[in-house]
Amino acid sequence: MTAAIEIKGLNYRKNMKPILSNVDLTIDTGKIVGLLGENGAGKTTLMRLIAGVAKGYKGQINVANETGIAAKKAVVSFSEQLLGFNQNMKIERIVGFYEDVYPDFSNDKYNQMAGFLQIDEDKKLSQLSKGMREKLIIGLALSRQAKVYLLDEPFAGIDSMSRKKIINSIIRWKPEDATILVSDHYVSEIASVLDEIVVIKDQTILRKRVPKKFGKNLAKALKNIMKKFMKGLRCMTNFGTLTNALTRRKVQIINHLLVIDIIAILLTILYEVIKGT
Amino acid sequence: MNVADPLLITTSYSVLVYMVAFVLVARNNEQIYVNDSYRLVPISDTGLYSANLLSAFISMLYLVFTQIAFGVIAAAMNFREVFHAIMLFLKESSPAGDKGAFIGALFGFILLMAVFAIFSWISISLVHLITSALTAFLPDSRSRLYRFILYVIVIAAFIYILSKIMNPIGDVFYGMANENSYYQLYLASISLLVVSGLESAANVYLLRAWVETTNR
Repeated sequence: MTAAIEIKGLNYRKNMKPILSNVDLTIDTGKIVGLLGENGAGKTTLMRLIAGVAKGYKGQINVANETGIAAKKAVVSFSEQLLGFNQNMKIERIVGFYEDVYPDFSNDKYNQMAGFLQIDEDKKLSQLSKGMREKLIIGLALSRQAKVYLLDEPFAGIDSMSRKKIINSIIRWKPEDATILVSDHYVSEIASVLDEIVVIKDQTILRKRVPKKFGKNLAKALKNIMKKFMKGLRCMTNFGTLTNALTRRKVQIINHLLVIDIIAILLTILYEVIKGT
Repeated sequence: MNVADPLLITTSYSVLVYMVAFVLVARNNEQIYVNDSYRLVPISDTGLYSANLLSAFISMLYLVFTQIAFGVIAAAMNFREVFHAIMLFLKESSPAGDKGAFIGALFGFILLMAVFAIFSWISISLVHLITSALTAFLPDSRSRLYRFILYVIVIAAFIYILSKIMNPIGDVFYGMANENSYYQLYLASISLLVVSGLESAANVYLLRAWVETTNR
């Protein structure tokens, strides 16, 4: 079995503190792996390093045999918190952004997931509850046809029903040959779907296999039901589409300014007219 | 009301709009470099940097065209008087037989403004990225205070180094004032582009090796 994630001799320090020390980790292709650890243990940092958004580390991180930054990002789908978007932006526009910049984003798959998770695309980002926002984040992340999915604490602060829906969507929409690394504080919530768990403690990795009693067979059976959603598309973003997406955002800012400009001009002219008469 | 007022009012607001837009676009540029939503996009750091800069330039072009359109609409309210005023300005600005120099200077000035805008965004990015990269090496506690001090030091160092590099450009402007040659505008633009290129190389290196996104 080939390695989806291969980490050798990883050391990462930030703000003069060691966060991860001598981390060696190999995760096989097709597995669902739980990344567990206390708050501040380094779970998110490890995911950010794998995703290529944390820098200044020592060691080697290979993702699906890719070592280059852009190539790694093309094969990794990270559940980012959507903080880069204007909070008044409608969900449909965020979905549009994903469609533009990720060639492997499947709109059909997203629509199926949005229906299943009951995501209302007409709502603005700021109108979403914590649970609904998390569902959107998972929906967007899983709608890519990536080789590795990094789901960072998808169950944090959300209710039991939503957790079940998210877990079901992970099982249902996971491509068979894709690998999922999902972080959480507790194993009990996601144990039924995990093939393995990886524990981060004292800045390094302790690895354990999940006993079969956690429902491995059930998870496999469910995964097999939903294995039809796979389509391999190599993800290489077009420079033009990214420029276009970034320009749209800036033009939107300028448009708001222009509205103020027009109003100011009209009011001043009106004032001059009234003053003249 | 003076009949020329609509154009005057529109132009006056234009200056303000350009300044605010420049700042907002610069802010947006910097947000993109430290945000997961954009840094996760599967493109090289050079690609992201170039796309971001290009989008800033295109958005400012969009603003320039809208402001021209607003000006034309305002001018149309009293076309004759405005036309007369423009012709008078052109006559005074370009004496007979020196129209080529006037057009050359006009394009030189437009080019210099565009290059200066790009140079300013790149310089803002350089200060921001250097500070972001260095912040990771500071102790976590009192990080805001350190960050503020770091910004002051980086900006002061940047201005000092820039003044050393830009002295020749200052001489160029001095020469322009004395010789009244519009070629100096093009030379100044080229000098700024060279400095911008060097700064961009540093920016891309910082993005690639050191600057990470803001963690939630």
